[in-house]
Amino acid sequence: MRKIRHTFNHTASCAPGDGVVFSVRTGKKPRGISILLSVLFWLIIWEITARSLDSALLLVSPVTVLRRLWELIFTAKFWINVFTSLWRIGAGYLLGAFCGILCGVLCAFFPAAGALFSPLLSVIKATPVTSLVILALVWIKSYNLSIFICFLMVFPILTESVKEGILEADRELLELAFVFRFSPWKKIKQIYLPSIRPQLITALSTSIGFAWKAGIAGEVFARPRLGVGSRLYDAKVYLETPDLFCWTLVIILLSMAIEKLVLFLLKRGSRETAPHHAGKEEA
Amino acid sequence: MEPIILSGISKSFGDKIVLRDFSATFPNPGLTAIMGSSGAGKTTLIRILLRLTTPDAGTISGLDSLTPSVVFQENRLFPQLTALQNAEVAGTKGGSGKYWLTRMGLGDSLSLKPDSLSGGMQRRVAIARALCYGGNFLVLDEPFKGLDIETRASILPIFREVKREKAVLLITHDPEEAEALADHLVRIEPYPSNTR
Repeated sequence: MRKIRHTFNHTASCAPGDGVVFSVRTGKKPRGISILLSVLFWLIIWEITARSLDSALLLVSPVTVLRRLWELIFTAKFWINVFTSLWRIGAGYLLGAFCGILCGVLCAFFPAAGALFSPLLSVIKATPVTSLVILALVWIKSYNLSIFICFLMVFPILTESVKEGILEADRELLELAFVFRFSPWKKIKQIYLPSIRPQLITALSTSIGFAWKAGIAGEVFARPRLGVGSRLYDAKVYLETPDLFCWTLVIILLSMAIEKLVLFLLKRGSRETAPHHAGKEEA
Repeated sequence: MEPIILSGISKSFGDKIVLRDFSATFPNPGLTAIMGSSGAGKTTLIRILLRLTTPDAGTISGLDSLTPSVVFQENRLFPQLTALQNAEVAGTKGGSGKYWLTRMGLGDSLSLKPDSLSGGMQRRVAIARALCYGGNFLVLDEPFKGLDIETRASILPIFREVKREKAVLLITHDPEEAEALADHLVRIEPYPSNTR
């Protein structure tokens, strides 16, 4: 007789004599102390390398970077630059998401719109960010460039996800909705939204990372008066290596924080708007 | 109420002829059982009657004034909704979801979602949904599929009540079911020998 015991170390096994040998070990995700130790390891490596090189121009130590960051965060200039970048990238992201969702719906329901947008989306996806930035600089003021670049990063991802989600909606449920004469809103709420939701969450959380990186790259190229990307460029031009590392660290930390925040908001929003929360009247 | 009359209905999918010059009359009210072997075109026929498929040729009268309700061969439940929400999702002109689900023996499972229900329970929710919706033309495509004998026996009286008020089409492979419920029987055979 097969008997499977589950133990806390994610190992399932059979008792001897059961006639079946079954053992599965699942990989554990590194957490807490393991992450801390690995971060510490690489910081030590960085510190040792910096000390060996002994050149603040080539490589500054992590301690110097943290000291510089500590100085910067108490200046108004730091926060003005950070919030200006956040505003530009946020605006581009939201605009791209809104237009992408709208375009995805159009492309799914009207094949002609799909055919019309298809080459445009392919070109945007295939063009390197740097080419887009340089081209866009010809037409757009440096202040707004990052908004446009972020828009271009987010728009095709959202368009395709929403289109796929709609096209993959359950055909059998759509037939049911036809026979039972569902209102358009009921069809959207009970059939299309549940079909789009998982892909939409993935697309929105993935594209924020792209948008952030492309937006900063846009600032580095366009060099508006304010922005994290501009400060990064200044640090490079004036050979301020501690500032260069410091702003890079800020970009990484903000990228991680924004991705976590967007994912948290999306999951929370998704839970609250999920159709199973709908009451009798709403159903 | 006028009967549903089908005259010379034909339907092909590519080279495959599914229905050829099919004619039949379904009384209204009353229950017509449609029997036939697999691939005979039974499901195509009801898809035509539900306007999910357009016939290549032929006419149908008596259908325009009817509001159809259906139990498909598949349960087609919304996974995110509870049994009660699923029963009421299409409307409640035919009665509340609680009423029909209780009559189906699911009074204590109203808040369960389809993935927590057995196949037989899901089938009863699909039947309850069609009854809640109301309408005056009920299409039942193998409604007893997956139900045990006792449950079948408890649902038969419900269909007997319903057939007194509206036109009901029952697709079944089981002669006993047809005999227990049907006022009329239509046998349908695969082309080239579609019979009436």
